[in-house]
Amino acid sequence: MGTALSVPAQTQSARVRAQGSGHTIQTAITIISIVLVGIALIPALVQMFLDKPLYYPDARFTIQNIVALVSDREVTATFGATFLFCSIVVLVSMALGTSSAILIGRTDLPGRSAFLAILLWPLFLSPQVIGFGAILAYGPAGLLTIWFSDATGLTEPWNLYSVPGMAVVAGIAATPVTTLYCLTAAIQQDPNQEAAARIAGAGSLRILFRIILPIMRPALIFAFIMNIVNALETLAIPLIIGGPVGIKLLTTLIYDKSFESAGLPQYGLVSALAFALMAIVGVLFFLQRLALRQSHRFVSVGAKSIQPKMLALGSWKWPAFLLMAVYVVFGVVVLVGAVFARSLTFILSPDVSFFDAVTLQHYSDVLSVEVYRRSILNTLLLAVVGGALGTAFVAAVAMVAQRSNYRYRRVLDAVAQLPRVLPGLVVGLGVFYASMFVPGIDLLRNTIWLVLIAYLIRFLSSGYGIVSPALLQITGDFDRAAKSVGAGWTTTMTRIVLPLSKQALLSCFVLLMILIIKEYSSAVFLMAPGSEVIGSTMLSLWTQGLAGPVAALAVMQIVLTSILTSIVTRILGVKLHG
Amino acid sequence: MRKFLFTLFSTLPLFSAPSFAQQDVPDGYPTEYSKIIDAAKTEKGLVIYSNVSTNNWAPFLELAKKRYPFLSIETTDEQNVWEKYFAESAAGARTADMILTFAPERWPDFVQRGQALDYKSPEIPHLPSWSMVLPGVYTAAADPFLIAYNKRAFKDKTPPMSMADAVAALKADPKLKGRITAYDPEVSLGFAFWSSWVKRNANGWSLIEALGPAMRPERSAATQREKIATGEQALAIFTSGAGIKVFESPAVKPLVGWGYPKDGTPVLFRSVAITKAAASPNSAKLFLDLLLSRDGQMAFAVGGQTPYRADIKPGEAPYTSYSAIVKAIGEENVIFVKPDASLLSGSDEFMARWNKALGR
Amino acid sequence: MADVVVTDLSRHYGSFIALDEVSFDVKDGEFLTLLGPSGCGKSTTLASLAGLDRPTSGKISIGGRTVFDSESGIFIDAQYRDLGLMFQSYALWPHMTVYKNIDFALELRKIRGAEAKQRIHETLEMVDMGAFVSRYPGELSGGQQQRVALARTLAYRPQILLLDEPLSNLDAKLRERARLWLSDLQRRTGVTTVYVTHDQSEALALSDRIIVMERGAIAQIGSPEEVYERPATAFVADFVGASNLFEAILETDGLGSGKITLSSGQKLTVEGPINLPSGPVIVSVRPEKIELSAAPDKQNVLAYELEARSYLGARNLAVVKVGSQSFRVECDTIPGTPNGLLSIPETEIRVFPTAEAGGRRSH
Repeated sequence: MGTALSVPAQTQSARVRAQGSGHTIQTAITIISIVLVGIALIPALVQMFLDKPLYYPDARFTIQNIVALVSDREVTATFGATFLFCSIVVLVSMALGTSSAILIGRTDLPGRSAFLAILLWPLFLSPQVIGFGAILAYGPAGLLTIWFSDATGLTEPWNLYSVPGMAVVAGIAATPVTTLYCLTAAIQQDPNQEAAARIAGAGSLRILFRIILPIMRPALIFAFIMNIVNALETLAIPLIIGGPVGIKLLTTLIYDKSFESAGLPQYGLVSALAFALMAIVGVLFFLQRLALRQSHRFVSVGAKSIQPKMLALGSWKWPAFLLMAVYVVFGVVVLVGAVFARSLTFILSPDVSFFDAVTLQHYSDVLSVEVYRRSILNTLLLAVVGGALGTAFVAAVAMVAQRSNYRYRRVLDAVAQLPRVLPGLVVGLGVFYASMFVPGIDLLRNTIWLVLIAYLIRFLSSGYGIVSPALLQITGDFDRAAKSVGAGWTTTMTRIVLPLSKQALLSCFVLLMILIIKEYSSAVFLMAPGSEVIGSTMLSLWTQGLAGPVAALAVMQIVLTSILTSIVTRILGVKLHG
Repeated sequence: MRKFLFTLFSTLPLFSAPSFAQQDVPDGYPTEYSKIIDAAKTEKGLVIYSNVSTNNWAPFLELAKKRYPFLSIETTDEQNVWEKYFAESAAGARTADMILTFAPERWPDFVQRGQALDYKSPEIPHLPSWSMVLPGVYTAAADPFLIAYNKRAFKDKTPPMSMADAVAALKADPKLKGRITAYDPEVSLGFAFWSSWVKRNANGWSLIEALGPAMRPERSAATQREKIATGEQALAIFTSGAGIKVFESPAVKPLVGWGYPKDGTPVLFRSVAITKAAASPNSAKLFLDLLLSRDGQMAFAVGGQTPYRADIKPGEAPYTSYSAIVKAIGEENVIFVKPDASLLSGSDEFMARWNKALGR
Repeated sequence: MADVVVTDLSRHYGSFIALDEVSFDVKDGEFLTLLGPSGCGKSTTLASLAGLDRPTSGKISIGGRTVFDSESGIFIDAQYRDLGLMFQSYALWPHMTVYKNIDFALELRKIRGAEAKQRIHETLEMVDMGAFVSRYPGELSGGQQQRVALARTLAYRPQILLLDEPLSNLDAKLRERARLWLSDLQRRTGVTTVYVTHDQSEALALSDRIIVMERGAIAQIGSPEEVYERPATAFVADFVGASNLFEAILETDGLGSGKITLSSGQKLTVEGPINLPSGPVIVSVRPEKIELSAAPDKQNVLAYELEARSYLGARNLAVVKVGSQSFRVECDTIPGTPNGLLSIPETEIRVFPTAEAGGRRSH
């Protein structure tokens, strides 16, 4: 479809002139997006063809980085493990995420809201802390492993240090996002569709598999692709769990070769990987588009208001409750609990009584240092300001890409998805570079506002991933109705679509806050005295070998995130999900 | 007349320069040092990129504040020191005045690129000659890498204090398989000292091969310490000396024991240099000289770093010192891991052999 | 109020032709209905009129203003057309009260203050919804939502009113009533109205003129009487009023009249003029035009067998069999006997060419 070329008639009134097609704003939003993503992308693109970091005067052109991805024996040797790892991560995350979303959003499962509150915890934690928690709980000397061994007599009940072991942990870490993606779709379903199936004689289970799941297809496909992307770029958990037993995935190998091994950092290889990932994800998104070609069939927020009714689980109620409880307790509470316990003890060991080891030292260690305190305050500021700015930006992008007939809306859609596959480090490097060469941005050097720009780029896709499917589910009749009474694009968006997507935008705001609070990789390059954030402080404490303070900081991170989200929840009266 | 002129000239500086500046020149430093102090006063703060945490910097920074109250000092703690410095200096942006980090493989390149200011510290006469290997690059601390063990795992047994001991312990108790952690040579630091250790020990590789299948390398001293304390791992071969502070803490002491590896204790140089791009070179000089002084070394040691000056005797520094290491294992068993360009390459060959030894 | 002139309007989606050179006009103040089954192009036509969809080619002018002309590249977006469009789904904005829903369009037209208030109340009174100003759409029944949706399109006095199946979401009784007041409202306001529906009874009850559409083209334009009584094609005959359609063989007498032979071999006379050559034809007879328990001397009398009967309240529906041919018959009373005679007046038989003969549009 071409664009609607508006030719105002001669008789046009002032009113009509004010109600433009929004072309200028749409162009501005598109340009800003392209510039922002370009900031992160261009240095990476240049870097891919250089043998040394691009600011080295003796850096030379090479295509070795790209060649290495497919020809280097060490690289290709990781393909098998990477495939297995990704498959398990996606399987675990999709299975746990969708069942949680349906059980919580769609059924009369007892204790739904409590389950939801708890199962989102991993979202608040950086992956290395989750990996750390997994070792504390499920490692060979983990508290749960020991207890389980003592109880059953099995010497080695499970092996965390294996591809499946770390994949399950990574899958659990990825589950909350899947849950969030699917929850909105689950909640917004028309109960009549279920009622119709029930009348047709379908039992709850049949309704689940034949009605609810198929209708959630767009969200499921989207979550599926996001999970693949996430699994492909997962670094921290395989590094911390797979490292000791020599399991290498594509990302850990490249990370090693680029940053840890002796020699100059091979940013070129990182860039090549980023672009390879981008190509894979590009193909995935193309497939998604094919699969969702008729996504209007799935518009589930009709123009009529509906009161969703919960699906009665019947005799499945308590078995479902039990399964959910097992997941929440062993997949979430135990992991987080281990970190929490570690933060309060000198050492967490089955050999030492918890009460002998208990201490608040780690908290005072963190809070007594001005830089660490400042990093917490900076993070708080970035979370609130970045969350708000990011949401506004994401909303603008999503509305142009999803609800306009702007000529380049498909381009914008693709641009908004790009940062997802850009490793945080590449984004950080790009912004860092821009801060030295782009006039204007250089004024922000060594301030947290530079970090903010990096975060906006980094999390554009994550926010977009929340807002864009939500927009898809609001019927276009609302826009057309506004247009027909004389509202231009901008008015329609701000007065009709924006208020209608309030829930999704607030979810986006909360998600961005959470992501910003735990982010570290894109900030690594941008750290300067005064612009520290929790993530970088944690990294620094971790490399110093201070596991106790890391745990304490992780707990403070959870507390901070919980406080912020509950403020948003209470004051604005929304839930983290749609 | 001559005498009068002499008196006049010799006393002039007393009057022309503020009197406290004269007092500030440390004992034994040339009087011209006051010029550096004066110049430093006009500079706008000191930026140091380092791999030392804020906590660990604190005692030394306190000393520096007392000695030179006019210095405003900012230190970072990051792994990115080189890349940030190179990128910023290439763009002419404000960057570090001083760099302080291990990275033995990167320092020669840094000097070769002409990025280290060749400053001659007045502390040179007091520093061991082995501590200065590159022009302008000094050693801020000489940190040992230790063997640590879980006390319960070695109850009623003599804990191994060398690689050879470890091989023997594994033979005696096959259950140790998978419970021996080593600092991972995949990480450049690990490669630096493992390759130095192998060079020193003719039978090094055969020991690694004997121990290999039982080893689970870690990339972080944090996880090593954590796993030794919980008992997941029984033995840590080469874990950071910065851990002594933790091992000696009341809660951990009953669980973990440690010692210097008898068949070679790697001692890593935490090197420091003033950068060519420094905006505050004089402040940096004051800071560097203080760091190298005896008082400075002692303050740095309180933060967990290992002092190495000959005038710091065993037992004087809070955790350990170079002299304490020598006293424990003898000078011949110290393996210096110092700035060395050859460490920049050659890890592939080493890693191939290492991985084979570990059965990967 | 305004005239609408549509000329050679086409809309292609790739190789699919949704609208094929459609031309018609709507007179000032007229109530015109686009009638047809789903996929016939009626909604595409409406979207083109509204400016929500850009046609592939053709020309549309509203009130003398060209709003679309493929040749000169003119396309005026919906927001500039000053039309009222009511959706099948009503599309009331759920986050606004009834008042706000209506006020939105007035605000865009800078109609504020007392005048806005007055207009909103006036319009709401017109649709009998005055008591619901401060309700949210979610708190209204389907019928109430429908009235508010209509009020929303009327409040700013658009040049023309476009209604997209506005009654299809109502139950039968409400629909009947809504039809009446909609018609009344349209007469009172005199607004030019284009109404899209697939419900022939709505179309017949409301319209000044009906355009019956089939497969992207116009099958017939005419008054409700014309369309019902003199359908132009077998399709129209079938779609409007659900005729009995069957195949037969026509013999013309050369004077304009003719006879048709049913599959059972029985013959019926057909009143002329017939513009078809002899041969196979499609025959259409309205169910209410067939007379049961006919006297043997009536025209076109056939013996039948009663197959099924159903009681419709005011009327009865019978299904009868003549040879192998079934007929649906609507009448006041159904004879109690299983057999009888029926008659089909020769004026009530319509013949159309068969599909093979090319009478129906094919592709």
